[in-house]
Amino acid sequence: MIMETREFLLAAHVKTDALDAWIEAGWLMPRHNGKGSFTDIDLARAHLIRDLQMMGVNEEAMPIILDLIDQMHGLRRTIRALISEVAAPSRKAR
Amino acid sequence: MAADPYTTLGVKKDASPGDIQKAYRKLAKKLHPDLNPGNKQAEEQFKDISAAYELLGDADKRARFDRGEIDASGQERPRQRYYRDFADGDSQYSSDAGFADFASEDILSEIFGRQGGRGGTFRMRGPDAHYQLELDFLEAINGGKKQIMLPDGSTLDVTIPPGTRDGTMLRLRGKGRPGIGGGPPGDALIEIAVRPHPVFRRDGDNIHVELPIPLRDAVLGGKVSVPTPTGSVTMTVPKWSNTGTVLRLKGRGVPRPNGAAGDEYVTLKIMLPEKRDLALEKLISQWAPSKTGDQHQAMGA
Repeated sequence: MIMETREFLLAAHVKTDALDAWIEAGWLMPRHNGKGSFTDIDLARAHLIRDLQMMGVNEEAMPIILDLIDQMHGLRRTIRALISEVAAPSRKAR
Repeated sequence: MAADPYTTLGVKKDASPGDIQKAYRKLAKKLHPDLNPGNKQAEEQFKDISAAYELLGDADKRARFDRGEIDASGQERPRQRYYRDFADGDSQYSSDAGFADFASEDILSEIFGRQGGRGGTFRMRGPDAHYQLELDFLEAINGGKKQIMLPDGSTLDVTIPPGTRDGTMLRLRGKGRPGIGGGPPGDALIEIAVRPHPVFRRDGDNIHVELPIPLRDAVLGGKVSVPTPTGSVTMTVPKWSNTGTVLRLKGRGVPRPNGAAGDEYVTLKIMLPEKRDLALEKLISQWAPSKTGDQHQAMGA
């Protein structure tokens, strides 16, 4: 789903200047910047940033945590690919 | 009906705002689905503590709750999906920084064969698909084409090289599963199992066969027909060939990649006529071997 900035601000519970700052800092990277179009992953990431802030994560620590989370997901994806590679059931051919 | 938010956060009714925040943060760090992507239970629990904190973390809402003006229900933050639900796919946030240094490892580069993705974009070669193919003995020796029926109903054409051995792994480039994020597809790996043959036995590039021959040919010599993997051929049995004599048919064994072939070894086995032959019995009874004890000699006794 593609959202415009106004919809996104409402759905993410963020204020305009906070959103600008997040994009400026690279915490959020909407694919088509300028026109202000956001997707579901941007929204989920905005929720995550908000949750992390509520947990006391400050501005300095945020990019580190986001980066580590993204690395973890890259690793999860790799492990999943490895597992499907290793555990692929030998299919009996006819 | 939602549980009591104080119980959910594990704080007393008279807890200070600071205590409530501390309790929430402690639980949230442990239960946030994006910090525990593999823990499916965390999501429910996180929803509960979020709802509780939504209520108690706000002084005004907390006061109204305490006065009984609002209850704990309806406080859940509507929220469908977490970051983890998207982050496993390909996105502008995907990162391979956690394992980019493994790419030089043989196994991983074999599996991933990643092609220079731009700025953190994740591209990955599709996984290999594994199949097993059973061949008849002669199909493996002579080679040919086979088809594998895939689970999705499509078929895969496999060329069997002549002389394929049991346990051989054939690799079909690009016939595995599709790549991720625009990466190339994986390979199909086909493990060959060869069924045994009732007559032929393979030893490397050579074929062994046991050939029954009539008593007459064994004694007087003669031409006999011998099965080979490519069809029957005629072979001359020399005069006075005993059971256990091994004859070689050059180039009648397993084809090699260079166009040559192994040999076929034929072990003779003398057969008496199947039906009782009175003439033969009479002949043998009149036959007086010059020496006795041949049998014991042959056994080394």
